[in-house]
Amino acid sequence: MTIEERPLAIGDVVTDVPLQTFDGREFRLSSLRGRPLLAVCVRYYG
Amino acid sequence: MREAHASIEALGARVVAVGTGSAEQARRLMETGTPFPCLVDADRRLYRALGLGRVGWRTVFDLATYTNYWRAWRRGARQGDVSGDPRQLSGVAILDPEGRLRWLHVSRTVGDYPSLPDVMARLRKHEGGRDGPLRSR
Repeated sequence: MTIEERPLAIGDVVTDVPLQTFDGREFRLSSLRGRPLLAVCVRYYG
Repeated sequence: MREAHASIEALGARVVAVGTGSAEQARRLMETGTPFPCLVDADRRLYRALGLGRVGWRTVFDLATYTNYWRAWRRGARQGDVSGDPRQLSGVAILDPEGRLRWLHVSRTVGDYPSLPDVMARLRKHEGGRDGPLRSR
């Protein structure tokens, strides 16, 4: 396991991976900094 | 989560949903009134970063899974087309205003979500935004 593959620990800055919006644009969680964020990673959309 | 969105916003927090499915499915969810962004992580990079694993097919089809489906159905949830990875496990994370992970629920099996009251209690614990308790560990 590399460092990049190590799951984040409490206190770590969350990896700013590129996500995608419903209309195909790139979206990064870092754009939401400034307020607490609740991120719900669902099993799948259905 | 839709019903609690206003209460979560009142605590000063934002909400996003992340799924492994298609952008088209995320669009449909938002068109049906989901009041927060539905994002897509097709490569599972955020899931991997958070240590959210995948289950075997046996778990996908076992009795406990269908019991959880039944509970969700009784709460009014209805399953649409599956888009994404059905073996993916879920998770719920709270990030502070600087993007640091402050709380994480890692699902151990299908349908293993924290209760809404528990999530709200965690958010209240961190209420205060940039200058509040989330800023200091």
